[in-house]
Amino acid sequence: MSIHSDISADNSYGMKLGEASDFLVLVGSHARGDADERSDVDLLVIGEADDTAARSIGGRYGGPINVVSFPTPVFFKHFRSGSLFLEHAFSEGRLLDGCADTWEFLRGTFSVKSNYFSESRKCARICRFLATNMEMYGGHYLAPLVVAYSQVKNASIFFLAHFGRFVFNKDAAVLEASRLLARDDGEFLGNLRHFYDFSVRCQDLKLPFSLERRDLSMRALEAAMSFTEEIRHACRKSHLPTVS
Amino acid sequence: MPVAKAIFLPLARIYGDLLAKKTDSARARYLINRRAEIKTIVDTIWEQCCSVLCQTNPRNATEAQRDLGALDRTTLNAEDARVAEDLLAVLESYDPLSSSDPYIDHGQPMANLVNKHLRKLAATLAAHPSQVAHSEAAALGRVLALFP
Repeated sequence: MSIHSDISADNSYGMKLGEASDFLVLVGSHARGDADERSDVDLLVIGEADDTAARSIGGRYGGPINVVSFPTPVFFKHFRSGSLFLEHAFSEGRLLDGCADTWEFLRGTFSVKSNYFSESRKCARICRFLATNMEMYGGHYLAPLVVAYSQVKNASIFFLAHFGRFVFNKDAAVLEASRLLARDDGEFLGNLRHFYDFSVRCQDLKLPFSLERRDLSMRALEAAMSFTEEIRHACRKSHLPTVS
Repeated sequence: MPVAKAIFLPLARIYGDLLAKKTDSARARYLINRRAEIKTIVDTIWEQCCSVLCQTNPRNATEAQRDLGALDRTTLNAEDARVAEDLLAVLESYDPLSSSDPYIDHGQPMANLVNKHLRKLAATLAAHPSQVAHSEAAALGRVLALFP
């Protein structure tokens, strides 16, 4: 049973949404319709809605559940600042519960921020830290590879948003950012996701290389560093190297 | 040797930076801003310690906590047992590092983790007999000694 057919069959999950600013929103791959067996169920809870109830909804579909909870003041703080995550929720999210009219009003009046230089700079800083401290890992490289993928993925999404392209699918964002930067290692960088899924999501995957391979780990961390540095540079100049 | 000696320099940098911050809010901002670096440091510590002390390769902090919890510490020497104990305390306070929600205010839990549990673990590692002769461990020890 897909989550979509279930939603259309019954749009009420019995959540106690007493206020007009309480919402439960499905985001991510299940909302986009490109979920696969590796996908989590990502939920955004806004206001005072009970996130235990939200988890029980997600639990009906078998995937691991991630819940992001925004108390109302936090939601409006991010709304006013033009949060990219809210752009994600408004553009791709599916309202599971809450006042649809209010949600539509909020969606219609939301304006996403346009400059992601500081976010790209932070991703580059973290990847530089990972690649320039190779000796501290003592021959075990899972920890830095997991963090490197997170930064590559985040940097890609910020980079594309900086240039007005909103891509929230992780794999697609890394490949598209790599293509725009005219790099030939987009697939290699995207495959670092296996380390992330292996660790964070406990998925049994064939890893791209052994976790004790210093040479390949170093290559991956250096690639992540140069990738995020190129993104930082492009965001600072607000200039795409390959696309005018 | 539970961890590589090169771990001490980034640890010393984190604690040195914290010492240089004058206000609680500046320290809180610093910790939130450095969450990924601190997570990497903590994760590589459990990755290395579990390999050496438990002979396991956990894939995340939860599994590391499980492996360290199941370890019979009476089979370890006193210094390694202290490392295992302090690392377990860090992993029990790991939530602000594992959260995938970037919008939660992690300030207080991060301060608790870094100022209490990680600092104790760092001091134990720097004083470990296998490390104590290294200048990197000494540098970290000097920084930690400046904390009240």
